[in-house]
Amino acid sequence: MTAPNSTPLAKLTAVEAKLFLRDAGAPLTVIGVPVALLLVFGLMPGVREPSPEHGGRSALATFIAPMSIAILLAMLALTMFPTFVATYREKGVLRRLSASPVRPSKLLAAQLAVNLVAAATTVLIILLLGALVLGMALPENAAGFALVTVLGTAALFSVGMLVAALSGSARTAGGIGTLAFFPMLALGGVWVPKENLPGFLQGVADALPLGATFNGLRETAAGAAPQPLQLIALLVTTAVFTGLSAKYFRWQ
Amino acid sequence: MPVIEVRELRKQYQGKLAVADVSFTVERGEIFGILGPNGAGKTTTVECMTAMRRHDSGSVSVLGLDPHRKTAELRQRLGVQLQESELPDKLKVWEALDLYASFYRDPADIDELMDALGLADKRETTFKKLSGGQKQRLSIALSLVGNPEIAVLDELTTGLDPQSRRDTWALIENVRERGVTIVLVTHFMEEAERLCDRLAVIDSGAVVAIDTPAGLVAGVDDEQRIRFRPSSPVEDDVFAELREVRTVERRGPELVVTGNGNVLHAVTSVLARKQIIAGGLRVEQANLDDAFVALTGKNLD
Repeated sequence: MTAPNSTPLAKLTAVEAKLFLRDAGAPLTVIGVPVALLLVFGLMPGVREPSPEHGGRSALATFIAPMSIAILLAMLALTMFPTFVATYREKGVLRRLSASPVRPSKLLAAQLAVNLVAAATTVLIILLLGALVLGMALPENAAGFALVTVLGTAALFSVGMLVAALSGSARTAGGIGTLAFFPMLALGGVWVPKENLPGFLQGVADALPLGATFNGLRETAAGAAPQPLQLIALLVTTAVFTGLSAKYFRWQ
Repeated sequence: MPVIEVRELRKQYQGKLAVADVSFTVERGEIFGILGPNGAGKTTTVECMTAMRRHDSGSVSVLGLDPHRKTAELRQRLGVQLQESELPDKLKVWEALDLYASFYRDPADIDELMDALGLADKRETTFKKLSGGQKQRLSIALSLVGNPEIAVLDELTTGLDPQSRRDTWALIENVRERGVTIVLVTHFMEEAERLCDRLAVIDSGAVVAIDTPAGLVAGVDDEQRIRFRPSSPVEDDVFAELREVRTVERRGPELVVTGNGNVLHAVTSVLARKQIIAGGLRVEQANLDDAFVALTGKNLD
């Protein structure tokens, strides 16, 4: 229970966190799906051994773990977060708040904070589980890996925010989010690795937010620096989509 | 000194005039009704009063404040219960009140509030599992949790069953007794008649009358209609010559007498003197419904 003199934002965040945990589906999906991906692919024969195909590193560390993290971030940002926000608008939760002394933007901030904590927790679980259970090597360029995670999260959530801004109902938000999610998986080099995509699609894979995150994580897990195109794409996406969301967002 | 003053309010959206000309004042401590059919501009008026919308022209002053300049101060002192605003499904009653209490500098005691609104035994119940009446009571509680000087309640009892509606009315009277000024937006005649000290009747974005419910009725039609079956034959003239009587008609075995003011007393006196018993006696009086029809030329529902 929070202190009686806690600020509205702290209180809102605590309440949103409780609601997130109380929603049976949300924590299960957020932690379950990426962890399942990690374990299922990570237990396949050969992926834990160093292979020349992955520059003398394991597929687990340089492909499977980055994939689990990128899918986690995209799922949260593109479908779950917009659905939450659209539900709040559809049900008039934001409208009720807009008649109170607290700006409804505080509720979005609280909701975002809860999503970010959930994302960070799951990233740590993936890395720890990988290292402790599957004997996975931790990212070699740890700082680069963290940077890509942060920028990728910002870019994907700004896209999710625009999805929330443009959808009238929770169902539409879920639909648009899913519609954005799958092509981004395919074009981002998740289903078919970037190296095996036709040349002109390799640039696309590094520019779309999901692909830029995923491929940047792969680079840094293997000890390299993230590619400039990936970082620039993530920064530009964040700026453009945040701007558009601010312009089109409706509170009711 | 009125606590709310609305003058010549006008608001248009997308070429559609929602409020054309609305003026009224609300005094401290009264229950002021805003009555009108759906789409008359009631909600828009309330939204301009509570700084949720900016009006095009006219002026609004609430507790001496300009809602758009002193929004933060106003929101601390004015509670609003809006239509179509729910809460998250899994939020419990006490959590909702505790959360909203944290928004105000001088919040009410939430346990007392739950007691007053009959929600004490629902404190651990989630919003989704509340009945319509309980949701509405929670909504009222949320509008009161900041200890407001004014509470604006929009379409409070729409969708409630008759029993919950009556319970809610009793509740509103209790709230007023705590000294809260109440603005009640409604399209239910019975609700307006039962609760409001004064009413503004709004139609097509304009105020057509402001008065007490009784004043509105009296202003429109003072006529009473009395129907009965006399126990023994009686001449029409016996009634027709009374000063209070306007018309006397026979419909089968029934006599129908109309007139103003004290017509009932005059007719019953005559009947008593002649020792005639009035069988199936009914008195029909103009009510707020008639007043509304006369003022706006349309029915409410």
